[in-house]
Amino acid sequence: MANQNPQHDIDASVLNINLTVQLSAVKAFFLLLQNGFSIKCLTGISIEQLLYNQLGLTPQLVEKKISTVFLDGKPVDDIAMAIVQDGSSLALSGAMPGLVGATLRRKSPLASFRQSISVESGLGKSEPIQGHVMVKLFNVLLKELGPFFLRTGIFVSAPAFVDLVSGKADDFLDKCIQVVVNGVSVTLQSQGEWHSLLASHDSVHLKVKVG
Amino acid sequence: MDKILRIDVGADGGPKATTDPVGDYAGLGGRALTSAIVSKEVPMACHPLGEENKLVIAPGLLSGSIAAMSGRISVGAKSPLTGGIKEANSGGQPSQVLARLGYAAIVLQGKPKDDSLYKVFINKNGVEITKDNSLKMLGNYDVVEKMKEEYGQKIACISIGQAGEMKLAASSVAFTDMELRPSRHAGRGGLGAVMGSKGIKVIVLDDAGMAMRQPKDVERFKEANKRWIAGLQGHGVTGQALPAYGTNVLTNIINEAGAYPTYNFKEGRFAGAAKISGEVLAEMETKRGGLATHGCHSGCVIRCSGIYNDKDGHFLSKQPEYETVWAHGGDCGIDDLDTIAMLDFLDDNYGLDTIEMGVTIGVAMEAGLLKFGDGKGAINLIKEVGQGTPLGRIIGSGAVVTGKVFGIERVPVVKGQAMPAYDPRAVHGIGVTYATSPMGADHTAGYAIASNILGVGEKVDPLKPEGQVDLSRALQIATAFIDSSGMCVFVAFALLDQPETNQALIDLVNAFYGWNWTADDTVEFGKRVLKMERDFNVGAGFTKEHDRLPLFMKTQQLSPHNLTFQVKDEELDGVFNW
Repeated sequence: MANQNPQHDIDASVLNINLTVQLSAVKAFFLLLQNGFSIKCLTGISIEQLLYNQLGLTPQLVEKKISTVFLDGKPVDDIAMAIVQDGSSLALSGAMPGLVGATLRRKSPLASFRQSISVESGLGKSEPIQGHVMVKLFNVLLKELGPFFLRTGIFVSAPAFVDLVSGKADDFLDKCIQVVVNGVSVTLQSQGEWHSLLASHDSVHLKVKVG
Repeated sequence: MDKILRIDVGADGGPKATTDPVGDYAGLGGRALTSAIVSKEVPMACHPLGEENKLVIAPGLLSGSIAAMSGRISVGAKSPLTGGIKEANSGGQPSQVLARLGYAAIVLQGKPKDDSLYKVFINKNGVEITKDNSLKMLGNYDVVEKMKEEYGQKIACISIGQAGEMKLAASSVAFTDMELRPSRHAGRGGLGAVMGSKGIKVIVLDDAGMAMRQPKDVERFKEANKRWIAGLQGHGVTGQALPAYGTNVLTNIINEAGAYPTYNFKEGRFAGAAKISGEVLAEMETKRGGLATHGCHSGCVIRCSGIYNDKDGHFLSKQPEYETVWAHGGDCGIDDLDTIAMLDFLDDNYGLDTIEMGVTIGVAMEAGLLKFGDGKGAINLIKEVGQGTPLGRIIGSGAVVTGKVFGIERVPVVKGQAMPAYDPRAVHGIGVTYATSPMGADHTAGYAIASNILGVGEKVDPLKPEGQVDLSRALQIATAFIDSSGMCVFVAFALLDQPETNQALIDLVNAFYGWNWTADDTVEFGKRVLKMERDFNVGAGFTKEHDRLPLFMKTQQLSPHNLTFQVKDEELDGVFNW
């Protein structure tokens, strides 16, 4: 599977943006979270280890809310046995309707329906290394986990961030209380100023908190 | 529900109504009743638009009662699209109203003497049939407006649009929702054309003065209904995901799985999927003053529907379902929700199956008639269907006809019916159901979670490779029961995870009818329904060769998993060996 992650080691191509926004602006980021963002974390470990040890999610939340998991587009049954590699894509969802929705669920009794695309347990197990994983959040997990990821920081491509600012227009800009770029507080009043700021960068390390 | 209304549209002097006791059909409802009447009374080799075919409209076993989710209604006939038996069901208000009026079914039969159009009004006093040629070539929305003017606001309507009048094979039968909009459809199989062939434009129902249907054991029924509702509302899918996002919540998931048919089933992922996802749809609806959580019939506690307003806050359509968003969206390369909602409205107004129309336009796009992603072109094509232009009649006849006219090999159909929104090359199990269902390619034919998966009745092992054949059989059996009960098929998810909710459903049926059914009995019931349908199809000329996916599914790989459909024909032939 092709890695769509932007290159985002700490270098000049990465712009650090810290936003303080009104609570009602948080959902403006949801399309970006659905399309996928990148996090820096230990890889070569199981999804379970990533969720529990790297992200600090509770087993209760994982078991109750994260009912459907895709690793590189393949449905996962056992998160303890599915290995996340550097550059992997990890999509997280709640329980879904529809026969196929139910089929794609973890440990679904209908798992044989999608046997040909399911993740093979334990495949690619290796020594843990630092890397990047693209995460996608869907449906109920947008509200559940979105604010957490936004608060702790995500990497997105600069064009994706431009789309966010452009798509939400002034409504979104009005809800930004404070904008800090590479440690400096700035005032950006129009989409054009955002575009100029982002033009010379490949990716953005974005942190968002509610003020 | 102890009587059947029969309307002989070919009677001397115009259509004539008679009412019979249910007789041999007692204890049947919904799909079981439509399929029983069609298989017993309709000659298997008849022409679907001819005198011998019958259109049967039947509420479910529990419709008209206080049982939550019991408002589904079935429509059955020999299908002009597939040539086999067809049951298509719908939400909306008419099921509850018709059941309270005491009718187990309405049967339209015979052949009209001329091309006049009729409206049928049914209330507690009886049935009135009136010639009304002012309804000719009106869309469903205009027809319902006229009926409101004539009969008031407390009615429910069953109608056809222009497509049904033109007897197009992709036409639907429309049912009004709680806002008296004809937004709910028995979409599949071209049953609107059968209604059109009978010369009946609209059936108006008024249950004023009629009471809720009463169960045999009131207290037991109430208690079971409480458990039933608690089970549905406490489940993650029926209590959270569906109410919050509707069925379109599936777009992101199916796309991520690489099972989202895109560009006429050429690829398994659509780059614009997130833009038309249920998550975006719900946010847009709320922002524009519509509704993201809304029931399609009274008694619905899941409320997976919604109201879609345009940019100016005016009603554009009901919330498009996942299947519609996919068919008019990803399959046609269109990633604009306003365009998709407009297509949904036009389909509803003209009376067209959204799945068949989306897939057909995808085929037309592959033929070069218009480009993938051309939303305006798609809207114009659907308008041509409504206007009845020669091209519109081709499109309105469905994917097979359009594929033949334009010389396209990749036409995703089974038994002549367009495939829904899950590519069987990625999810093989759904392909087993698409291939073998008596209904043609139908995602809801094997939808309900079978009790034997829960450890009741015949056991299957879902994890062994051949489990998908066993599973498909079990799912189709269970679905046949659910489709007969009047329950919305979305209850299936709570049944999957909560055996106590499954039991609550059986308890509801038992308390209502005074039966003592077990889960095994529901399995036997489902088998009876499927056997009737399979037998009809055999008589109509179907063989095992019709239980196959189109050949391209075996030869053309689907990205990103690069798979073909791999279930062997011999395995498919074993689905109905019980």
